[in-house]
Amino acid sequence: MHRRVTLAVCLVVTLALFFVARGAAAAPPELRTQISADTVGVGDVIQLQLQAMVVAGSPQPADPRPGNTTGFSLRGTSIGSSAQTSLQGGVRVDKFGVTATWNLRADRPGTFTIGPPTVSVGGKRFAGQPARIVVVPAGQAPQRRQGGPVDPFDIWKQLAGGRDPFGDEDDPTRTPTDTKLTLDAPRGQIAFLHATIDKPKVTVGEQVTLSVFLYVDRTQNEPEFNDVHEATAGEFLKRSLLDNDAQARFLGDAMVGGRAYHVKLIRKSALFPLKTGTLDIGPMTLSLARARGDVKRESEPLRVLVTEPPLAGRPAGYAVGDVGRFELKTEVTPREVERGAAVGVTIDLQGTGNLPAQLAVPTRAGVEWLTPETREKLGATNGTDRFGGTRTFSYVVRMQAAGDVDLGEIQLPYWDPDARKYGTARGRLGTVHVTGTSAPAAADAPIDPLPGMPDVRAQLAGARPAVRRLNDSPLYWLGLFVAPLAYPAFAGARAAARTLRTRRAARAEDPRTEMDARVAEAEAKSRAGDAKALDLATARALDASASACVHVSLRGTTEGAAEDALAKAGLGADDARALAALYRTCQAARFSPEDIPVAEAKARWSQARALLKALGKAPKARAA
Amino acid sequence: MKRGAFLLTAAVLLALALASARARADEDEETHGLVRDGVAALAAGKAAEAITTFEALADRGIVDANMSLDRGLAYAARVKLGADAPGDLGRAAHGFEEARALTADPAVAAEATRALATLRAEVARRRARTGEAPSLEPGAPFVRSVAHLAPEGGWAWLSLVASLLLGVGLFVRGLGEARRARIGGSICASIAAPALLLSCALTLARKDERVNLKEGVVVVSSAPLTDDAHRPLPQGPFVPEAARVEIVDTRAGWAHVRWGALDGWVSSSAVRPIAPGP
Repeated sequence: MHRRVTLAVCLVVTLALFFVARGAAAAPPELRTQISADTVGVGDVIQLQLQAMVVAGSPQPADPRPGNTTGFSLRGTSIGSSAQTSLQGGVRVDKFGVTATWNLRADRPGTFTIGPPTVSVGGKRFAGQPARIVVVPAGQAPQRRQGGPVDPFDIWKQLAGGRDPFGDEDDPTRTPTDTKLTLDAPRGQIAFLHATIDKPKVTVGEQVTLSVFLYVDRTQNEPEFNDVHEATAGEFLKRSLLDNDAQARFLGDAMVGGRAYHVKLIRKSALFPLKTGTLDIGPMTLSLARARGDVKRESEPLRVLVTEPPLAGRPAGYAVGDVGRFELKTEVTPREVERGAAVGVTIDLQGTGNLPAQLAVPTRAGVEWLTPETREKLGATNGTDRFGGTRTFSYVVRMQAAGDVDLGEIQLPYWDPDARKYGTARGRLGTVHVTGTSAPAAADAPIDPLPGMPDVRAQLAGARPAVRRLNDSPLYWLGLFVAPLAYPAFAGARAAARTLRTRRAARAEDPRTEMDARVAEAEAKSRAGDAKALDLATARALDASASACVHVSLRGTTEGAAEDALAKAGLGADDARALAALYRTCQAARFSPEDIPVAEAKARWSQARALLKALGKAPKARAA
Repeated sequence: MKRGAFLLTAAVLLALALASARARADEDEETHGLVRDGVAALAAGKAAEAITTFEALADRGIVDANMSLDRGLAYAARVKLGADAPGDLGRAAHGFEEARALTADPAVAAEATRALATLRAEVARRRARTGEAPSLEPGAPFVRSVAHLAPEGGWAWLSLVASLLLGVGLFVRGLGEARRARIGGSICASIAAPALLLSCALTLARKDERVNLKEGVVVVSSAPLTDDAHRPLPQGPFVPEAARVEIVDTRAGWAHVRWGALDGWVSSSAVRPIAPGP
């Protein structure tokens, strides 16, 4: 029973996971199909390109397939990864995906439908657009634009029997004409990439034009390429300035390191920086097919310094990134409607630069702007490198209040980097006459979703005074620990004083203290030259030393008794005798009525000092 | 000659001072002009114009409680008109949160708090309508919840009182002659010591929060969380609009945020930081 329940739960979970995964996988990618030519001759090679992009976090597109290729033979495939960043409603959206290019050789005349190319996303296959190609007999196809081969790398040109489209491989000594394309040294053998930007310092939203050139050694056969990776510019909004990225444009010849090269423009993009700082543009990379050694070629990594437009003079409502030169054209139809009906408002935003993806519409009570439909026609303008065009916003606006309703004005402040000043594009919408009763029926009255909002403040509150907090002062933290530490400090001080007093008392009672004092006194008298005083001091020093070292008092004892006591205390017999005798001699000399020579007194003190040393070495003294 | 140079220098300095004063006066006049325009637009129900004006004030670096409140009201007005752009509720919430953080006026703080409750209720209602969890209050960490039981100054004063009681208790215990006095001192000290430690820790926690905590409000419909490499987190958690989040770190276009138990990186444009109070 238990097992059956477990099985059922597993089944339900599996099914749920399957449907969740299916739901996630079902998010369709953005597909873009391109074909390099719609009329070709037999033997010509065309390129079918499919770009599949998904938002970051979605399952990645994989396994691109060209679909139906009847009438053509597949001559090669290149698959590269793509990244794209855009701003939608002020929020950055990152997209990733793949770009697959198939080289198809026309085999026979006729009209063929090729594709649609497909790609797999999350296990589900999505199809792009099919293409209709007219194949005419060889040599009858209309001439293509300069640059000849449609693919930037034209990898199957030799197989298709073609030579270099520029037709001068046989004349390697031809003088290069375009010095602007000249470089000091080649960045690789046979072929290499070179990238440039037109401006190293711009403001946020200002166009930087990135050009990537392919240099091919004129003495070499046109090489084949694969593993193409676009230049990464994650911190920029990237828009192509070429009609077809798969179509290279021959620019001329150039001398590089003493050799002649064909130069083709293979990428030209308008980059719009999304933020300030030093932003990096990564290199474009590709590999030489069927070559030996280092086959990887990459363009230079580049850096752009991005700042904000100045604050001075910045108009209200300016959004950082709105850079260029814009104009607004508006159209409102009809101008008279019934209450509850809608009018159409079409706003054409024209100009060059980073055209914003949305506009701030004037809001009014009783006027409801629905989400607009947007169409755009953007690209390089008038054959220049400036990105621009027209973005059209079509709004449906519901008129809920009767009367003459002024729709107001659309304003778009922008920074013009050429004039280095702000401008504002304006589009006046005018008035719409709304017929019908003014007061909406009670049932139609909208419910206020945010009742009880505060009143508007008409004045600045002013700078709030700095709050001085108690605990911001270091004195607070000092004071905080004074009280608890006061008693331990007090108790410690009291104990220390008590210890000091005890030590002092003990020191005062120690016989050695007196011994040291007597010895010092005798030394002093010895220097003074008073013989009787010196003898007195010598006798006192001997007595104090005997008392301190061997606990024998010499005062009031006979010489013999003193000698015995000293000897018993461990002093050598000779020293004991000499010490007892010296003590008596000193006592006798101090009481002698005659003058005593100082030299004799000093000699006795010298003898006493030697005996004092012996006393210090006595066993009792050592024990003490 | 020397006198001439001195006079020339003084004249130049005076001219510079006058020019600076004039520029400041112009700037003030411009600011007050924007305030007037914004308030007038709001009173006339022109929400988009009011938003533009109050955002221009913010762009000029004007950090003011009343202007934050008015900015919140302008976004709320656009929602009321039914012309709201995605994130308007979050931007309104940000205005009110900032007004609450900046104001010294308790009335403004109370009104902003009420407005926030209304806004978040509306966000919750919209979320519930789309089948999402309506909760917008994830709950603060335990330590912060305890620290918020009293203001920072309250904890500081409590620490001071506990410190004094501990000192007195120790003296009475150590020097008291009578047994009752010594017991009283011991009890006083043994209560005051942990109280001192606790109140000190909470004072420091509040100060750290005041000095180091950076917060913001989510101003997009929902902010999906990513890991350190900015890959979407498993289970795809997201922080809802108008949620007040802690900003732990910022890095080129990304903000590391914490919201209750959720922790991850969101696009920095999804979170608008709240200007810190004084």
